[in-house]
Amino acid sequence: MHNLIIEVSDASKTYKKGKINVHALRKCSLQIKKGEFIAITGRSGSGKSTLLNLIGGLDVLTQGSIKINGSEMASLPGKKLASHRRFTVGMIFQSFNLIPSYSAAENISLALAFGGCPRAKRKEKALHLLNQVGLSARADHKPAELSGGEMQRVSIARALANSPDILLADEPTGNLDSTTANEVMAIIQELNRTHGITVIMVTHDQLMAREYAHRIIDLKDGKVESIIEPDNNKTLNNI
Amino acid sequence: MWQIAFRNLRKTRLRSTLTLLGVSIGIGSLVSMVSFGTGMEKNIRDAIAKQGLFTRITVSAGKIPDLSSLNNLENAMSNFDSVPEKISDSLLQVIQNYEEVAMAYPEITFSGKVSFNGNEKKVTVQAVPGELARDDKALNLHSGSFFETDTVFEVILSYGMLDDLGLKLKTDEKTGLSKEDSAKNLTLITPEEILGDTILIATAVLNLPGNNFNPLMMMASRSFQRAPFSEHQTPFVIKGIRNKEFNFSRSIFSAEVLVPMETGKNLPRASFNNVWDYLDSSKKNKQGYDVLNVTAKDMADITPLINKIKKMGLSVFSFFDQFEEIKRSFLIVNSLLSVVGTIALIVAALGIVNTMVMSVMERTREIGIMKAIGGAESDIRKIFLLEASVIGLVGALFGLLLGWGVTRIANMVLNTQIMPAGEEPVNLFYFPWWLIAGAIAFSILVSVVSGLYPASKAAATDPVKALRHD
Repeated sequence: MHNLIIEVSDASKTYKKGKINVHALRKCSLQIKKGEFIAITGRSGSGKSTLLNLIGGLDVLTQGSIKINGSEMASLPGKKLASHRRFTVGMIFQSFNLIPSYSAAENISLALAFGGCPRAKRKEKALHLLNQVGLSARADHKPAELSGGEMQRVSIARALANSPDILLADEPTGNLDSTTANEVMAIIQELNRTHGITVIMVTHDQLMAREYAHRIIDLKDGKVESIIEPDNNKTLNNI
Repeated sequence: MWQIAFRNLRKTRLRSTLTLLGVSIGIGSLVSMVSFGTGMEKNIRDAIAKQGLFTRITVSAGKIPDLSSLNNLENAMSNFDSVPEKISDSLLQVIQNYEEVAMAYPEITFSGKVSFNGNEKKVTVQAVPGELARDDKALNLHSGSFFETDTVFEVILSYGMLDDLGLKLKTDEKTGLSKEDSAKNLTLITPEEILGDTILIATAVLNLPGNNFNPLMMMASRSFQRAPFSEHQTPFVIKGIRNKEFNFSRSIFSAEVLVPMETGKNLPRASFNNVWDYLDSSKKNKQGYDVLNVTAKDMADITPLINKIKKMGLSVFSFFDQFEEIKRSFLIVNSLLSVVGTIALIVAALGIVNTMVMSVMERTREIGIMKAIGGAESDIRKIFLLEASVIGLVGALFGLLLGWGVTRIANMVLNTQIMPAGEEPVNLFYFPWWLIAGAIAFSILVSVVSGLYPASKAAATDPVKALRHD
């Protein structure tokens, strides 16, 4: 129990769409251990992205509880939530979400700036991070000059800028061709297996989920439908 | 943070420039208007200081009627009627001995007729002490020098009266007479040609026994058969010529001719300008002076000096006190001008609000990304407020340049159109440091206030919705 990094208990999220109440999550409960690679699957509208956003601190629960590293998310004030988004989680998205007018290095520097890194050190650190994803040659290129795979790799570097414990990936390979997708997934896997970063990945791709994840959590209508441990010989050590 | 702000503004160059232009025009017009007000104030203050008016006071005997006592009309009327007391010589000496006093002399003026170069002119003559040579602010000589003693027979002429004597001084730029000067039949001369020449001053004398009656003089003068008046001519040497007067620099001496104090006092002349003065003064037979001119050593000495003199029962007029009143009216003028200028700035501020709101809406996705990578609400707000303040700062700098440029052109135009030809150009606009600093600060303040609403909107953006935005 002591190495539970995320504890979701009866989490519910409801939002208004016009006059209708949409129940994105209904009393969803699950637990994630430190160092796990979790895939969250389900159809559109099953609540996967909502769950990810809640864990990431981009959204706020309507009911229930989400504890991360022991802290209750619902009770975090605005500033602490921002801190959570910097140091506890890093997020990557299907559409990359890089700022188009900034170069690759500058996108990462921005994240470093928010994390309180002093200006003098930012460039150096950004280059170091780009190096880790093999893109130091593209440091000064803007997103428009990068391929999809490169953009996603920059996003990963950015997500890791402030050394978070958890990497949240919302369909990271959705906009990539299969070869590039594999390259990106290799990086993410490396982060998880070698560096011990907990990964939670939302995906449509069942095959990909089976290949990389320790556990696959399937959501349906805002609730956990099933939890599978795929047989891929990639069990965690020391859980 | 600054880098982010600048770069964001550069991204939307055209829009930022237009908004900036609005602020520049606002600040430019504000600064131009206020600089005109401060310019006027400065010109007048400088002109006054240049003539040493700030350290001068005029002292007169008797009380100036107290307007609050005008409810008793009879009292007030009698106040105007009675002949004021005169200031005695001994009182003058007491004042001269005060430590705050640099110079004190009585105001002695009379009318006379000047003959020179075949022309005559009726003038006002004033007797002044040779000490005045020390106060060259008041004197302002064009050529020649001042009297060295109070008893010589020398005169200082005003620039303006030369015209009436048929003369025109050569200046460096002119080598010949202008059309209008030729029409007046003026002779072009250099100062050296008349300095040292003899000029005649005629005064009217009353030919009654016991009244400066000198039979020898009578024989030398022309006399009317009926009235007991005659002209008494005294030769003087032209010692100096005063400088020309300009719009802002009137001389303290309204008299055209200055003569030394004792010479002037002793010049034979009737001691009255109209018959009633004569009748009154012969009754009262007072000796002494009506008005004294006193110069303090320093502006700081004025107030204690005025108090001392008032305690003696005398009335004091000082320009120093008057200027406080003038300053107050200038403050009102300047405030009104500022208000007009501010209106333009308010319009520019609305432009800033509009531009920034649009910017926030367009950057919805970007704001979402920033929040996703760790930006707090305060970070987002700071970024947008910084952008607003950059607009304010740069707008102010351009506005100051614009205002300065416009006033330069206006100054040139006004100087050539309104100021009479041949006079020194005047600087009508003045930019003190506090105006520049104030304009910059005000501009930044207005811009930041304008940016508060858009910045708050940005900070409150829902990141989830924002990331779904295009």
